[in-house]
Amino acid sequence: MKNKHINAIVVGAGAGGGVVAKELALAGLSVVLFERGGWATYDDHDDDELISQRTTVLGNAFGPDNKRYRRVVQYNDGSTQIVLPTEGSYSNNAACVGSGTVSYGAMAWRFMEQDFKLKTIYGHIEGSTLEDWPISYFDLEPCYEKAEWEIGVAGEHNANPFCAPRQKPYPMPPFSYNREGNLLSDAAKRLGLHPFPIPMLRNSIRYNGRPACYRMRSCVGFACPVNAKCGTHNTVIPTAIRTGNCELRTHCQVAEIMLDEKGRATGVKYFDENHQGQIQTADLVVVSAAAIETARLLLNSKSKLFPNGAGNNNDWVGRNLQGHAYTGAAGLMKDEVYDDVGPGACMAVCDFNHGNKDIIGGGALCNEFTAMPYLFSKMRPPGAKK
Amino acid sequence: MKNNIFRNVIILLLILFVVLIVFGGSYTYWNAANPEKTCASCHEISPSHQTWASSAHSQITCFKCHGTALSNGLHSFSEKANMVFTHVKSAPHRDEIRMSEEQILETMQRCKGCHENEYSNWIASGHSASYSHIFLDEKHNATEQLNFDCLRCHGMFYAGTTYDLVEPISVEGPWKMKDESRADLATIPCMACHKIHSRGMPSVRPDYANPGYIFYGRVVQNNSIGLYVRNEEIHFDLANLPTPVILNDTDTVQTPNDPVYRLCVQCHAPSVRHQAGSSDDKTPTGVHEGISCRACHEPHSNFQRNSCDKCHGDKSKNCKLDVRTMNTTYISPESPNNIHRVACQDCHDDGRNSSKSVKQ
Amino acid sequence: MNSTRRDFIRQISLASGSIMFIPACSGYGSVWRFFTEAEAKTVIAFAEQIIPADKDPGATDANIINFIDKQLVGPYTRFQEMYRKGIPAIENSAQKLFQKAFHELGFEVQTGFMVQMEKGELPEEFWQETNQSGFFRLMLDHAMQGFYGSPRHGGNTNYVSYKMMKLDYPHVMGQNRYVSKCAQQPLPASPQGREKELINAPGQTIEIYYS
Ligand SMILES: Cc1cc2nc3c(=O)[nH]c(=O)nc-3n(C[C@H](O)[C@H](O)[C@H](O)COP(=O)(O)OP(=O)(O)OC[C@H]3O[C@@H](n4cnc5c(N)ncnc54)[C@H](O)[C@@H]3O)c2cc1C
Repeated sequence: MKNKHINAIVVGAGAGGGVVAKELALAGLSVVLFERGGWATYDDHDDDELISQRTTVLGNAFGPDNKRYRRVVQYNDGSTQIVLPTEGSYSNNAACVGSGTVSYGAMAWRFMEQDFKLKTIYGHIEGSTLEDWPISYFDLEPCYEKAEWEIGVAGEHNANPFCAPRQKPYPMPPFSYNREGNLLSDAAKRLGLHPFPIPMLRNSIRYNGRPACYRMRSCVGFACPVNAKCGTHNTVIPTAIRTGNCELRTHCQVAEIMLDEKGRATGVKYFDENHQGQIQTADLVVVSAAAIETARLLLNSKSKLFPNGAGNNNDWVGRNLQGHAYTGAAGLMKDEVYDDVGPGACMAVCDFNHGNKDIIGGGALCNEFTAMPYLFSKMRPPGAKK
Repeated sequence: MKNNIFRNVIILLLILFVVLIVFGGSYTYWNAANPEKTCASCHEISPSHQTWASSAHSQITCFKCHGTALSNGLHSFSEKANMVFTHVKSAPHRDEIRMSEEQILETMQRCKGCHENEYSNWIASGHSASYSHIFLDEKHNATEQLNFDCLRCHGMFYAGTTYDLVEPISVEGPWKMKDESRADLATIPCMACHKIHSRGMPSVRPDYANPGYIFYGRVVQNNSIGLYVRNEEIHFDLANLPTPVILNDTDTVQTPNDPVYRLCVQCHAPSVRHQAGSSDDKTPTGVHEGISCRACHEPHSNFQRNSCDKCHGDKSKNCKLDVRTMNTTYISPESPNNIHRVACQDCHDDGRNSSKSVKQ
Repeated sequence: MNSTRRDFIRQISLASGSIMFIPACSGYGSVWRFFTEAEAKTVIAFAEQIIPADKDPGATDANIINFIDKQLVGPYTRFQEMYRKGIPAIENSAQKLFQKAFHELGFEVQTGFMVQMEKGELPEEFWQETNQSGFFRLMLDHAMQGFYGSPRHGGNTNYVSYKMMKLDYPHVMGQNRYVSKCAQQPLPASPQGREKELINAPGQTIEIYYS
């Protein structure tokens, strides 16, 4: 059966796609939201570390599955290798309704003013393509606010002196620290730093028709048993569907964006849940399939005007991929600092985000999310016996 | 023509007769013979059979308990056929054999036959709460939103999720069971806390008349008690259940030595900071610190077994309180004499004899 | 309807028929899904080297062999070949160096053997097809997964490793709902000293801790 022509297609029901689908549906457009995965729920994996998002050794509770979604990695020397979504080099985020927002740690950072003007501040960096954004923090400020209130963030709006100006506080009060957080916060103050509770996309009180967090140790990498973690799967996507204008098609993998002679998108080709090829036409196609899959989809959408893939006539699609720089330091403490109050991460300082001598950029320092035992077992003090 | 039909009928009857004899014969044999020759000859359940053989229930044959699977009737036939079918088709490993909720509930009916007392205690108590009881409780649902984790303590054998059970999942309600036929099923059946196949004889009951025996150094193990852990789909023996650290402000509370406390606290649990009395925790602090739940509660009924009278019967001792007329409520958090928490200074200024008026 | 009846009849005949087959079935002996008895001995000894029992339980108590065995016919099917080839290589190396099976060696000797294996110093002749330090790392990793992962995957029997770490499992964790007034203990101070806030729920006031 042929699909009815609609106003808009959104590819990928993750963080970005969910928000776009909701806005379009509320504006009265007919929308189809494509997602290659399905709904992920707590009961599918509960607190099983070995299939959790951070440790996908035996499978990936949040998709994609190993059978259908392999990737080919090409190395600098031109050699290639097939990698499975459960393997590290796949660089997987997730594939389910909500994607990473189901299983993430849920820190809710805003960019700082400086982050939009990196080239102005740091100048041209040899070997990099560092640029200023064409927009400023103040263009985005109302959007940040809207997202924080619609999706739900718990935080202390005036506790971080480095935070860019904001119009409104967070909708929910902040979470209290765990033992580790208290310890680090005190130490940070002694050092003259400015610790504050991390703004979190988790309910600290009942909010948006969902309960408050009860602070499980298994939070980052897991779905929430009480539905207190705020993602697109339990906020904007249900809102979009409730309008009656948005249809969510799960287990549907978009394979190509169809382009007409003028180079305009006319719809997509996709494989439905039975792996059958289908076509959906629309006035508008929004691609929000995350950094890697978005680029891949564009590159796979060749046409007369774009022989190297949609929007790729300058060969920039899929380049400049910025990974998530996430480094850590660990130490042995004299006293017990672990109190099993999840999700672990609760305290941060932003003293080092910018203005570090001889360093370009910087970052927030936080205490880490609770590492589950297998993950933790990889960490050893220097010189420890194996 | 007519003859033909007659002959066909005869043949059919004959076939049926032979089938019946063969089938009935083997079936009777199946039910009556030593399990080693029948059920347990199936390698999938042999470990289960081994524990059973060394358990207190070893004199009770399989079909006496495994009602749905081993009784007669169409339902049991199809169930058995199904097992054989899966056995042939996918040869599940012995680690993967589980009973369904239906079978668990059916088996519970068989427990009743011998354990009448325990059963009637249980049925009269909160521990026998049905699905509708738990999941349609308006007061609860309006304060604490239903969620996936409910089934950890209520409905641990249910194969679906909370979302399959009730709608809507909100604090507004009105709530209803998605499948009405579940409404009256028990959420905490015997097997929530008992393993039927467990090695060894039942433990000797502690001497409840001697409270000291219950709160100090009680190490008696009862192999048949164990929590069914929904996530793992197995029972955890008492010995393997953790003893939580319970805090009273920053002090560590002396938790009861009775291993059964470890079972109770799994569901009657504090919130994440493990403060005594938070959430559903009932770990005693104050003057009753260290006393086992079982000193006052009959585990099946949850009734206060002997009430306060047991220890405080003699008015001349124990602070000269007439405990029979005291308000010793514990359900209400507002109670001035919450027996799980009551401390010396609640009645005595500076904890000494200058007794305040006893709160009523 | 028709098809279910047919299914039913088929199942019934299977059921009654199967009773006759039972003696044939009962020969099924091995508890392993993938390993042979001999292979299992090697893996058990190897895992016990990685996580030896001391005052706390070790690999054997945690049934790590069962974990690896189970995964090798599941998500780790892709590693079957490594094990099939790697285990004989271990055994051949042990035979050559000590004229004994690996599991029969003394504990210290086994340790030395494994240090060599990790560094890739076992006799090359047996390791043409499998990389010895690669296989070492694989087994090390699998042993750790079996020890710390959930028991549902076959290892970590009764969460022995969690117990060793004094991490409660099953998790002792109650609801948010009740905040008993009598039990109101000052919580560890929250950053702004605001530990609780009254919020109005329909018909009542509840106290919520920012816990
Ligand atoms: C463990 C973990 C912790 C994290 N912690 C944080 C945190 O604390 N704070 C924070 O801000 N971020 C965090 N993140 C990151 C955050 O989840 C991601 O940055 C965010 O989800 C990216 O949004 P996106 O819209 O670009 O892509 P995604 O949210 O990944 O959405 C893309 C969606 O598109 C689908 N898709 C892809 N290709 C196709 C196709 N061809 N057809 C159909 N569907 C397709 C995918 O299945 C996916 O569902 C975390 C992520 C992880 C995994």
